[in-house]
Amino acid sequence: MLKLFVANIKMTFRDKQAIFWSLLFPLMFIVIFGLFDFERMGDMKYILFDHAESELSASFQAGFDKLEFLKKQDAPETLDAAKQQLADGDIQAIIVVPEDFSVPEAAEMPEDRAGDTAVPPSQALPSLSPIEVYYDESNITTNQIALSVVDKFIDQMNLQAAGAPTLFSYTTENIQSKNIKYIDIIMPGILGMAIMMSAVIGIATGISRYREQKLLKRLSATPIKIRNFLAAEVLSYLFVNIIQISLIILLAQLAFGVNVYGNYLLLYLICILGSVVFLNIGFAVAGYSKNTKTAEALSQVVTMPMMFFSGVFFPSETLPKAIAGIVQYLPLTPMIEALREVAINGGGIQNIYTQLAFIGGWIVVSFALAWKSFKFTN
Amino acid sequence: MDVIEVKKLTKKFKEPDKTDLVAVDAVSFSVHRGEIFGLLGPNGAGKTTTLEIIEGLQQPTGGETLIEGKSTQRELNKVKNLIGIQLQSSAYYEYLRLGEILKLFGSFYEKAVDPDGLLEIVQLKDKKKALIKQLSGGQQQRFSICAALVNDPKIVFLDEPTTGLDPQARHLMWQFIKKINAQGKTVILTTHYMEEAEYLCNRVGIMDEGRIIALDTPKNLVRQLKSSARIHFRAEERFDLAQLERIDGVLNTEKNGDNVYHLKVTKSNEVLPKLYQWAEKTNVFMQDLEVISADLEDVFLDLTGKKLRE
Repeated sequence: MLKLFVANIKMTFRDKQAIFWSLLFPLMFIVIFGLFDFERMGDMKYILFDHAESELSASFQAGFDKLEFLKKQDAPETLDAAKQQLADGDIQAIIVVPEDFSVPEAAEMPEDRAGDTAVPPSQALPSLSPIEVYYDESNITTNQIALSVVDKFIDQMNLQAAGAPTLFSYTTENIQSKNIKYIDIIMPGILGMAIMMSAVIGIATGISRYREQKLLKRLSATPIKIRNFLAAEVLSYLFVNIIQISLIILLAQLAFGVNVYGNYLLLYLICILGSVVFLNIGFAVAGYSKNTKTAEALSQVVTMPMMFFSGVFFPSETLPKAIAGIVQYLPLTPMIEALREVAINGGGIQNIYTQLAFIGGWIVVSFALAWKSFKFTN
Repeated sequence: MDVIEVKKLTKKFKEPDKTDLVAVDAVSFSVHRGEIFGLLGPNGAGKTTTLEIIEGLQQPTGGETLIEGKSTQRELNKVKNLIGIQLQSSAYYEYLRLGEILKLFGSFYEKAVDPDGLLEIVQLKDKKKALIKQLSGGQQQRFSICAALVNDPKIVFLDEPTTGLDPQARHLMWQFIKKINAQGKTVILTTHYMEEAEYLCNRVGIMDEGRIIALDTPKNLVRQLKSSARIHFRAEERFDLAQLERIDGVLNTEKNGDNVYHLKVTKSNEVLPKLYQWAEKTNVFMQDLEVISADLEDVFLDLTGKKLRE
């Protein structure tokens, strides 16, 4: 059996197709998502003309500077030149602060005029020129944020100017103290996907090819026991899975600085358990398919929906309720949830026991399916 | 001594319309130690099914098979270690080299022989590091025979070992099979080539429709025929066919359009002198005279009324 195990691994590494699906395919995803910088995608470049150059306009600008995703660009000579840049898509917004944008003298007036109620303070205030904002409508989210910053600032100024006491206020604090990048979230998803793809497609097509070529029949003519043959298959796949997991994590960390906050052993454990489920599913698919072509098609049918719905690339909570309800029971979903919990939140075994229970359930169900459908020879 | 005993072997398959298809019908025979035994018959005669039941790859509906006195049905694991099997059109691992496949298969058995020696027998030693797909069809077939020898078996089963090979490759394969037999291994093979059975086999069982309809040495099988030869000749002269049939030993006469006459005769050495006498007397000049000895094909035709390959 050991010889068969070693031979199986040797064969996997000689089989270019197997190598592609189990190693290169997931690594490609890591590279693609690693290079894809989602943080910069949301940046908004803007130009600010400060005609006032007052204390107030400086604090207004400081408000903008605080927001990381707003990138201030050097202002050109004229507003028209800036407008051209906006039209060209080089920048997303222009903000023009008018010359008279400064703390009006009137702001101090309410106290002085305390007794004089004939004139409401606001009416006594000089009206200031408005701040002009030019923006590109196509960039909705960033515009909303930029406009709300302007809005909030103006409101605050108005209230102060009107001398209204600040009744409501709030403070914010970032609870997520770690800097989680998109690739951090994607990596556990890719792990799950890679394990699923290589196990289901590998076993289903591999075994049905063995059957089609009558290799299984040839093996059954030798004294080797079926359970030893199957054990060698499963163990060699798990071995390849471990290499797969290590390479994915290694590439993600070295090339893209992915952080893993939890226990690595726990990550491997989740992957191995998940792999057992998918190997069983692979055997079941091989059992139900009459030939290699059907096995290939059927394993795509099994894996594709999970790849898209089980939260490899985006959380499954964003799916419509009806679909999400089904998706949460698919075997890949708890596996990826558990991997994310461990990798990103540093969760321990106590945080993922529901997911582990689900995976355990799937091991039982998938084994029953495999047992029922799989025959060594036809 | 008999190394294989087949006792009243029956195999029925369920047809889609739920009627029974009797693939093997109460077949009994035995194979002697050290011989090459052949099961000869057309496709669908039940040869492969019979072989696979003896090997333990299929379960019989009835009857029993013994190898070295051990029942295939009850002591399969012991039997598997005694025999070597070559299957019809079976592939081996795609991504292992020939030497690795032999080593791996050897590891499944209680004892294994060195891959180099095995590859030597079938002249594939220089291909030890090759993959299966880099071999020609004939080489693949040769490899599957040497893979049947990994456990140094006493009995070797070959299922249609030369089907699909060109004549040259087939003759080469025959040499290998003789060589294996010369090493003291009993060989049992199936074939639908009567030349193969005639050339290789010490004894031949002729199968048709699930039954063994004759079993003997190829010579004896032919000798049992009423007609041991056919005589063909061409003659331009006109004469009555009945004159030919009156010659002693001529069993049957036929004439086709090109003035070619076909005679079935009991024994050519007895009939030929009489045929010459008749030709001289009637002034018939026999051209392109041919004497063809009967073979297993004729035996099969005689027994079943069918040709072997139809």
